[in-house]
Amino acid sequence: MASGKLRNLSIRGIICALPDNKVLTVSRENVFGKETVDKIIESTGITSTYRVLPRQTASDLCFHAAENLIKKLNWNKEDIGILIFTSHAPDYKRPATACVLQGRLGFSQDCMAFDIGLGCSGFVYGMSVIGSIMQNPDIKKGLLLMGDMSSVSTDPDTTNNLLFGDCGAAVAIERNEECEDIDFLLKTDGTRYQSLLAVGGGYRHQNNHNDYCYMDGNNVFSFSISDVVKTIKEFMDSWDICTEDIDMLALHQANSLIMKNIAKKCKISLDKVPISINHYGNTSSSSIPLAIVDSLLRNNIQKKEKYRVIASGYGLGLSWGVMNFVLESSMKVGMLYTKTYFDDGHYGEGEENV
Amino acid sequence: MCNLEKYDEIFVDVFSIEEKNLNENIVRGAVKDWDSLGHVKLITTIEDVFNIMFDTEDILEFDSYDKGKEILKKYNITV
Repeated sequence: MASGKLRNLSIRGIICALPDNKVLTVSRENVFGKETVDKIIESTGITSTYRVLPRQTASDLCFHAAENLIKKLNWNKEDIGILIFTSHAPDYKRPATACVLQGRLGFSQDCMAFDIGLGCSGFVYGMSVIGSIMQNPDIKKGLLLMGDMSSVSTDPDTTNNLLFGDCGAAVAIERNEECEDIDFLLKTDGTRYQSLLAVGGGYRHQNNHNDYCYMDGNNVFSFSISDVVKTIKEFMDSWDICTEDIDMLALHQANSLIMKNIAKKCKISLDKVPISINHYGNTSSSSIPLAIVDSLLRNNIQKKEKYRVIASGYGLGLSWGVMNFVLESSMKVGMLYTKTYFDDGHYGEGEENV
Repeated sequence: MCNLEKYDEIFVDVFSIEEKNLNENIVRGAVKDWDSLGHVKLITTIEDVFNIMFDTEDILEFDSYDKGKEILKKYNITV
């Protein structure tokens, strides 16, 4: 079983960065028609999304979030021993975007950096991986970055495009001998990989340049309200967690009906479930940190000194997982908006004029 | 309200179909709003109303008004 316990780790802060480009869902009526847009808003609750600007990428959003978080925490960059970038929207086919970010952020050569190529399960997988590596006491501080730009990776001519927004998030993790354990349970079912698939853009079909992500809505939906629920229940049973022990159920923000359905089946009160999809859409790997930050900043969750959180992400792969952790109210949180991008000196057709 | 009335009311609400038109012709693909988002609404509402949890294969196989009745029998709900 892919489960485990992580000791002596605290989450010191979470910052989310959004592109400074808010798009109201109703503004897409000219493309999809009023009836369709109204139906999407009614069935998903998504009234707006934030979309990357020309040349801006997921790593730019993560860079901005990371810089701000390090500054807020007053961390010395030399102390950061690990950087993980979780995304299905890398800057380049090679090298790993985490390496580029390590250089841009000015981290020392003693910082390991690598990518995890997952989507909506990226937060729980990323936390589990970085936490496992940080069980090595030599690594005192780590940074988990998650970012995607699904507004670009879904076909703009389909209504699926209305469901997605872009965001980058940075989570700061530090070794701390006086904190509660983090538990995790991770799963994969590659037999259903075609449920969410971009056929082109890789090496399997080199002549196919269509890299828009295709989604089999039924498969993804049934997976979300069946397999995911079973896994959350399995996790809670395994680690002997009662619903009363939970202050927050932070779910991947795929669809508000799905989230409500999961919470109900897990017998967790809806007022403990941050729902931010209406403001941002589905932001893939960053949707869980974004929902947490949004709820804390809006005071949508009952104020406490400590929040006992269960988080569950699920998507591409199919890949899903559950974890629990404690958030201290003293941790740094923030939400930023940015127009910036990394000018790497390479220009494609038309890019030099942007 | 009996189970059939509850079941019918869900279809009426989710797909804006008149009750008198609920029959074997109500199938996925033939009903305008029965797309993937409509399916999410249909299934989550049925689960709420009948207090059940569908298995994955049942969610996928639920493709008509009649098939839904058949599937509900597995959950000891006679419509």
